[in-house]
Amino acid sequence: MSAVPTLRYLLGRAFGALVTLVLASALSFAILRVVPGDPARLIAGPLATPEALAALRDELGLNDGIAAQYVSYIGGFLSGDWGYSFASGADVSSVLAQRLPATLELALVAFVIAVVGAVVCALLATYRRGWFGTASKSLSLLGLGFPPFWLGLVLLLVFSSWLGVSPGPSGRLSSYLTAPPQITGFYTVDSLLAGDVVAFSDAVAHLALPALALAMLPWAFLTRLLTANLAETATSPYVVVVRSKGVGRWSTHVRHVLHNAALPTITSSGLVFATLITGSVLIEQVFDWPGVGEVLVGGIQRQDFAIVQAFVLLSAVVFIGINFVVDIVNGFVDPRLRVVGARSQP
Amino acid sequence: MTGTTPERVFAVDGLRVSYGDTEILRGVDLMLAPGEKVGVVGESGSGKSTLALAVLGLLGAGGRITSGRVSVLGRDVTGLSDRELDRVRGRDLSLVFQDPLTSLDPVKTIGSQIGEALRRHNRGMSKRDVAKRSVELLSSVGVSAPERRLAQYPHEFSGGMRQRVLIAIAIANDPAVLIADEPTTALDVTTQAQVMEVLEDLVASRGISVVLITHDLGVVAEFCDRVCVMYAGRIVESAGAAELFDRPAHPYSRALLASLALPGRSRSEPLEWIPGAPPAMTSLPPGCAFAPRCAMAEPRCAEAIPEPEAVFAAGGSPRWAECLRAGEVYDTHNGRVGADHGA
Amino acid sequence: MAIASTTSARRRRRSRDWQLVTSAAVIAGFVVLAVGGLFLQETANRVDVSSTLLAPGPEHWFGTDNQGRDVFARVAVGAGISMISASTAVGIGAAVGLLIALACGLGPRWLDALLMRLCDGVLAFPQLLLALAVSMALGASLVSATIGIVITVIPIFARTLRAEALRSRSEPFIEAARTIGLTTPHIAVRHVVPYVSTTLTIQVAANFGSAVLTLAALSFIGVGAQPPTAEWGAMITDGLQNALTGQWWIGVMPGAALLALVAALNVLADSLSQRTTGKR
Repeated sequence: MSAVPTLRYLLGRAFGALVTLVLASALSFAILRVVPGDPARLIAGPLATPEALAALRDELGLNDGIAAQYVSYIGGFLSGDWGYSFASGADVSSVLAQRLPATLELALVAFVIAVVGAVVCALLATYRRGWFGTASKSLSLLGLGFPPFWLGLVLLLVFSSWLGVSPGPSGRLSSYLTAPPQITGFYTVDSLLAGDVVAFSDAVAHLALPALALAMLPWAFLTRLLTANLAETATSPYVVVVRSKGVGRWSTHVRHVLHNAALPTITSSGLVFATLITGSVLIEQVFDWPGVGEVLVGGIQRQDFAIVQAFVLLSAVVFIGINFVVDIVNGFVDPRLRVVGARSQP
Repeated sequence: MTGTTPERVFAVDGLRVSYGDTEILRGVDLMLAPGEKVGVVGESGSGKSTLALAVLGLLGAGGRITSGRVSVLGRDVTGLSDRELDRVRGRDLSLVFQDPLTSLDPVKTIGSQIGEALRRHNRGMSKRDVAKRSVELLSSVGVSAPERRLAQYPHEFSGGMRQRVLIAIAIANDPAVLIADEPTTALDVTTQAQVMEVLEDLVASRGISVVLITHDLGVVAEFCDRVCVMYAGRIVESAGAAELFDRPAHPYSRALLASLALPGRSRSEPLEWIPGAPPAMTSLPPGCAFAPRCAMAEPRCAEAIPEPEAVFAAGGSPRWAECLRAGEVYDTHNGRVGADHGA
Repeated sequence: MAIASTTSARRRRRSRDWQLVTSAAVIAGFVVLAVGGLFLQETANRVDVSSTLLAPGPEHWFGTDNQGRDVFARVAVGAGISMISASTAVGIGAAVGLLIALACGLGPRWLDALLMRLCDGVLAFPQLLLALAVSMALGASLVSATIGIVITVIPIFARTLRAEALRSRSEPFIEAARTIGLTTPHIAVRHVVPYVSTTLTIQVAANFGSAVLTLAALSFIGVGAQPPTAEWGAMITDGLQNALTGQWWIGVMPGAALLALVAALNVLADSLSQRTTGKR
């Protein structure tokens, strides 16, 4: 494979991502700036004085044309000026920065549970017919119907209230412990780095239930997707050819079938990670988890538009960015995609 | 191969295979002497491909061998576990599969797919040796610039080139027996000829026995020493290639040959066709499966599957056909078909 | 090989029939519940200070909440709210999506490119988040939440149906219709719409479940139905406070109903799509 088509592949993908980004930002601008009417009132909050409102309108450039407003909106976003959150009494950027590690830690752990669980279940379910495959298929079909916030509640009831094996909805750490010195912002990692085993096990215990509740939907979705793709790939003629070389069934299944079936799952995993970050909005309230979701819900209830706006646009940026990375990864997994204009075989 | 070459490198005895409740192979016998090339011909649905998969132990979900045995180099492989069979497949017995376009893993390099066959049966073979051997294999099947092409992916190869790669993979460990299941059907005619030539040279120089499964009688005529005609899951006639084309002894073989535009046949002769359709394997008659379509059928044909009747060509090799009237078919043949194929 | 798969295929088909019947029965059960809910409107919102936080029993099947309201009546009313809102959202989304798909599949190329880019823009947002933003912008209410869901559902329908519409163009009967000079709108209505209807049905079933779920999630966060309304998501929010002090039924019951309905819809969509892929 020569380098030129690879570079063209990259550039093509980057251009596509950029176009989507511009459209998405215009959309978020339209929804949260234009539709609600007077953004100054919404941003300043219900308690602002008329003078303050007038000053804010001027500052926001609301007297300019729509296009000019959009440009300054994007400019502000790019320079990290995401506005002031009156509900939290701080800059949106600092609120988000402070809250993000908790949400990311939760989302990452849920992501790992969902992906590893999906790969293991799908591989075993397609390797041998039997009760496991049936169970995995039924559970993943039902799993798509679980409201995560309700699942969190049920898990809390069962494991905390009734069995007493898990801490209640008390955030990331029991109140009698102090947070480990911040290095990564992830309590599980930081406590290990600080050598604090007590804090580590407490952090893991606090993380377990919300991560499970959050992982259910993406696990079910990925398991179904990967199982279907594995089952389809397993009937390909090249699988027979690989077996005819004397390669064992399991290693054929993992090295050839999984590799070929993985592409749609990798694509979806990227999207799944992005939805996990938004999904945590639904979970954090249940577990009193001090993440972005909690301030977001608080912001919604108090009509604090600045924080919602920043979060929505930021999510779109992350979403598009992840899609771009996934495209690149796919290019490595499937050599056929690297050729410009080539389409994967039907 | 082992020190003493057995008389038969490969033997199938009374092999029966069922998928669910349906019997697809109904007692197949097949024998190969060292270096022999046997063609198995028949219409699609006659069980040819099932035979290929069954002898390799790769029938897949739902299919199973109900009775009979397959032996490779004198060793019964039907009773072996899947893991034990893994040591036989690709080493003693290997496969060239139907469609070259879908028979290679699209996301692995050609080099890794050839190397996989080598490493599987030669534990501890060094990386350099694998690469060296792969280059030799590729050039032996006529792929030019083999060093460069090892790093390429299947989609960068043409159909004919992919089939050559598949042949290279199949002969990587110098197997005793090669099963070639419709190796050229997906290729265009010129490429077909080239690929068959490569295959012919290789098996001749390495003494590999070949089972060539095909519906293409032209390929069989050129390549095979012996032909087995398959119909509805049984081999109904077995004969030397030249003898069969010259004088078939089973009505089905005769009809098959008559329906074929072989070279040397005059254009004015009309092509014949076989009335009716191949029978559904779920509802076979108790007797000869061909009887309902056979012009020579008698009431007794429907009673039981006929015993193979030995027919002897004058001074030729022993041959047989599974027909009550085989001798008659043989004697009355007007010899017009395939007259040029004796030599 | 074709014969090989018939017996296992038959077995699979039988289990699909079973799936179809069960899920349809559960959904029918919810329809009955929702109709019953029409007569329970008054009960559902009757505050009774003397009987707050009662456990499930013969008097109150699902117990009562912290204001003494009957949880079963509220779940029944919520069934109607969920199904009506979700079917409105999916119905409008499907109709608009179909129009876009027809315009893309049969119209000029530039229109196709433009509309698909717009869909990409909408799809760039996680579904829940976009619905949340729209609903908040319009002022939190059940109607706003429904509109928010409509906007996220349109591009899903547009994309899948466009692919089908494009495929239909190469079908012989459509080419024939073009050749004999039928107009594009005529072809669209008489030939392309029936062609895509199978995919449309499956998509409706699949999106119905996720619409019910999204609606509950929006109400749970506070941008959907507002508190006194007996919406399932809002009821779960309500139940959170009491759940860990022992009154689990207030939050668990509406969630169990939500799970049962969404799971039944997903199973239905799954067996419908299995059925048609078998035929194709």
